[in-house]
Amino acid sequence: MRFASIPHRVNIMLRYFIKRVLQMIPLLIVVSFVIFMFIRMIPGDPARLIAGFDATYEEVEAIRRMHGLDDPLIVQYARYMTNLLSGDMGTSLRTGRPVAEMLLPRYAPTMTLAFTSMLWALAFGLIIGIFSAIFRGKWPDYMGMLLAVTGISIPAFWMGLMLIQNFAVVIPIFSVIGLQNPRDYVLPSITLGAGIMAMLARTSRSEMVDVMSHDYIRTARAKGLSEFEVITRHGLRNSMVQIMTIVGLQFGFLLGGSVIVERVFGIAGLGGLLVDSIFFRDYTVIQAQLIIFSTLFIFVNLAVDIAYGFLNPKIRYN
Amino acid sequence: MENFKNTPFGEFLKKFLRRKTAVVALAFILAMFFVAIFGMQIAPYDPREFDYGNILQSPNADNIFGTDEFGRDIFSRVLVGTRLTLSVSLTAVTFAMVFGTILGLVSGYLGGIFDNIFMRICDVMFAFPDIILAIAIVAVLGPGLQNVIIAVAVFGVPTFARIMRGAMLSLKQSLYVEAARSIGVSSFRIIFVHIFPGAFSTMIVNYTMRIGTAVLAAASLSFLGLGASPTEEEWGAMLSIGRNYLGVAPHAVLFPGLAILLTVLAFNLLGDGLRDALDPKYK
Repeated sequence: MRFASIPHRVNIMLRYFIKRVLQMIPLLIVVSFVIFMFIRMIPGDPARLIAGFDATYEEVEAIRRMHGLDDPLIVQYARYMTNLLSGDMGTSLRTGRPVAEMLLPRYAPTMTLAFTSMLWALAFGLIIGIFSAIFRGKWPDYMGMLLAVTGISIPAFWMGLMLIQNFAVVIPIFSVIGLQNPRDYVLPSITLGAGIMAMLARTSRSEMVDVMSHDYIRTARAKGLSEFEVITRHGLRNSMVQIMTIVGLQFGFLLGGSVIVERVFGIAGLGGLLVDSIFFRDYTVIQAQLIIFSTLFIFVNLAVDIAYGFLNPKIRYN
Repeated sequence: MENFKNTPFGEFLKKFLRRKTAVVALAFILAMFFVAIFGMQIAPYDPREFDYGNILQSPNADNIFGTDEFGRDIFSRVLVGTRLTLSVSLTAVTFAMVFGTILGLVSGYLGGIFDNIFMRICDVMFAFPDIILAIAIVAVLGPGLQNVIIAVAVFGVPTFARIMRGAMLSLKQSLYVEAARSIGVSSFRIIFVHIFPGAFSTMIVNYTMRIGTAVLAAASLSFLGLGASPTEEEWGAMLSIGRNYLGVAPHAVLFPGLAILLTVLAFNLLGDGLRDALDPKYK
């Protein structure tokens, strides 16, 4: 009987999936449009910026025509998006190189950093959250939650500098700067993941406390399951829905945090480039990066929404 | 006295005082306000006075937090910096709360197209990670503390708006609002006199927590060089300069960072305490 129901479920999931992807498209268009207009609001003449400050009036006008900067904004936006879809993000005002080419080598460090940070944050956050929930109101709970609130409150740039000072200078276990081997990811990942670990510890604690008070937990205990099985198979599994949502939301936090952590540890990733571009008023790069960051964020949230649908039948049937 | 204990405020106070960490946090915050007002008077040294004979000194009896690269007393600079930190974050979060509340209330009450458009705008704003949005705003407006306030305020608006809208949607259907409407009370009065107080406790908790976030965001922007100028007594800016001397003078980074950590921690603990004391579920 279960076999027969699978195609139907797949069908419902597929419809849910397509619906969510279609809903995302207008959001992506609006977000990219907002960023495009936003960058145009920056005081100063882009044609003058490209031509350089010692260029003549004629040269500036020639550049303006060449780049289509005299077209209506909506035409410029349409052209930018068409180019973007074929992988052309324009040319950097600072270096004169294609933006896409400048960004390419910077994805890997940022993504690896985000991934390793999330991994340890999730593992430790869950452990602290579960222990706090099990020992609710006792000292492991207090310790766990104190650790969590400190993790949320700690400034990442300060934590990074203190880690460098203590574990690369005073006790030289790790290297100070750059990412030459896997070990170099340890300090930046700890710094970037601390806030998320804290957030996950708080969420998983409150979720576990809530779930563990349900009747089905009492039933599971009554039928003689070990406490470990009750916690992992019944408690944790039901808490995961809410925890997954937080993971998705916190991905944005990771991207934002990467700007600071990359700066502290001298990592040549996307975040570090964004800050540099702002200093050099390299607007084409800023624009491309803002679009990439928000698109990544929207995609991760979509993935979480879909995972949510898998985990929680109530959502997909609605 | 007996009567006071039974009032909602007495009830709240009883529960709040039970949370020792929140009480300590509140005391710390009050002390910070005192320092913010009288910082210049209680600082042992002039925070802007250069002393080239005394640069990058480790903490000692004269300079308990040590001195920076110009020989300025770090303890005095941290004390005086309290005012900047509190004023930047309080201004930003207050702006965010006022605009967010009004927009959320009106949007939730009116419903329809206005509500729809407004919520889509919020979606777009939520599509940017907080600090990235702030960085983008500073990129357009240019660096400086004033623009940091605007940036931090803007990214706080949608959060407040969502909370207020949520409260509005749930309270709009309640019996007492219906009663008010049926006796001819104006929409304006219903929104601000009948519904707003219902969401007040959620709002105050979020306000407190947001201050913590704002302190972190403002300090981060200053650390990146997008906020306060390096000459100002701003904790993030002090850290940003101090990192150049990390190897020889770690105290120049340690103390401003500790100040940020303790401030954010205090606001978060206070927020936690207020939530527990105001939430009827914790009775």
